[in-house]
Amino acid sequence: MRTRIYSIAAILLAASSFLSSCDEKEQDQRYEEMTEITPQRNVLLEEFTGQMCPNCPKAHQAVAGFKQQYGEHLIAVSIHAGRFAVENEDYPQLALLRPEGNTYADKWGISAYPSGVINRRQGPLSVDDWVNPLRAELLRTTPLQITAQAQYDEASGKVQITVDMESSVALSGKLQIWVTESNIVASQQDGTVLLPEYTHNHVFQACVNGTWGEDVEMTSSVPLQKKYEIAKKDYWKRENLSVVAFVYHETEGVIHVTECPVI
Amino acid sequence: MKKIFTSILFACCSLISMAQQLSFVADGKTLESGSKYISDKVEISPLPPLGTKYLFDSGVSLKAEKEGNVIVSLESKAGDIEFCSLDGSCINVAPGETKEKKGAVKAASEQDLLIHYNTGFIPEENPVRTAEVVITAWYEDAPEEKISLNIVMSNDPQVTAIEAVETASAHITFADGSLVYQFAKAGQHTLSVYSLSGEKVMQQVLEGESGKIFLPLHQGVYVYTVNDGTACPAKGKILVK
Repeated sequence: MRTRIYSIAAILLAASSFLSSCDEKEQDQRYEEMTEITPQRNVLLEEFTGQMCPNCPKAHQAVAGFKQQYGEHLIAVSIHAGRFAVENEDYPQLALLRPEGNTYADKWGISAYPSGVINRRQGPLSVDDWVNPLRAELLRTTPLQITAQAQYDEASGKVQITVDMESSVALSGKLQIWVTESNIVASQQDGTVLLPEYTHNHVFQACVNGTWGEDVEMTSSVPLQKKYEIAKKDYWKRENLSVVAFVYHETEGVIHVTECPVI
Repeated sequence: MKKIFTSILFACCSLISMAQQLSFVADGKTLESGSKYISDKVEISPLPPLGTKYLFDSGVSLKAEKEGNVIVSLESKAGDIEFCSLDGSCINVAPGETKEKKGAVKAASEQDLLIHYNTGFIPEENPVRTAEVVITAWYEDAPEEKISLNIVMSNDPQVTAIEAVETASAHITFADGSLVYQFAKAGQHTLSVYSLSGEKVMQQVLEGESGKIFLPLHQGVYVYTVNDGTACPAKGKILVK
């Protein structure tokens, strides 16, 4: 009897120490070094966010970090959507939800904020899961070259946009053009604190050529140029505006993307 | 020698049983599973010209005795409920919806569940609002050991004036100037009422399994307890207007 109790106690002690040490790793095995990469293309990060989302400033910081690391190769667009976004038709410069925001959020099934969709191939993903898909996308080559220029014409009050494309293979997809704006000062919930004057960057402001863009067909090695214009809204500040242009395919995601300031 | 090993065996079994525990905590107190908790905490943020935002805070935390993956489920009974804890993201649970999130907890940890009711920016001044949510939590590897809590977040004096308490063993409410009680079983239950300064202003035995007693209290805020001699099945607040 005594022997049996000793055995049970020993087994229980051993089991508890085994279970508590299962997840321990050596210190030097906890961190994986991320080697530097040479981006082969630009990548579009659609960041779904909201001014009343307490956890979203962390995502904004993550985006800023990625942009610092990858420069012009990382093109981020903050799309305000869902119950955490602020909508007010009378004060659109302070309330950043736009009609298309919820349309895009619904398309990707966004239910948690912040969430990111990367090149329309990966996502929605929480912030902690962005880095590896981003790196993978940056390393993918693309047959498409795309550039854009945007100029504001004071006389007409319109932004005139030119998009140039050339592909090394025949391809078909949709060309989407957006206007974004940075340095918007408006409120933002950050944890338990409401910050009344927070700087919002690369905020989605408008679609230039429809909510889902327009069909585009390209012949191998034949350049294609498209021109558009959009009226500048009163509450947009020209010096803070950018144009994002990308070609995407329903199943293959974003083929390539570019961004340019409105000058 | 026999005593030492018996003690070790008991300690191991105690550790293992303790290690299963999850509990809800608010204001430093553990909330009994299955009970109702009423919070009147609200943060008011005026932001002209958009309006004023009223953020009701449940103030409820999850205490975990052991490390593991925890699942928390929210069912909104009234109001759009924000839930921003566990996995770094925020979700919204609309009335009638049930949603759950999973996240890792550390041993001997306590984290604010960040369960709020957010009105958004509204033009109304001093609106009266009430939201209600049922939360359930369990370790992923122990779905049979669930704990639950009914949370009411409100600034409605009719709702918060009496901290109505429902536990597995007691149901206390207030109606027409009287305290109404119902216990799971009859016994010696003693009601004690204290002023906010800690002075006992009233003590009375509550006879039988159910009944009601008139509270001869002046205007003010009081705290009450109902003690059955071995445990404290109910406690709450009374606002006498």
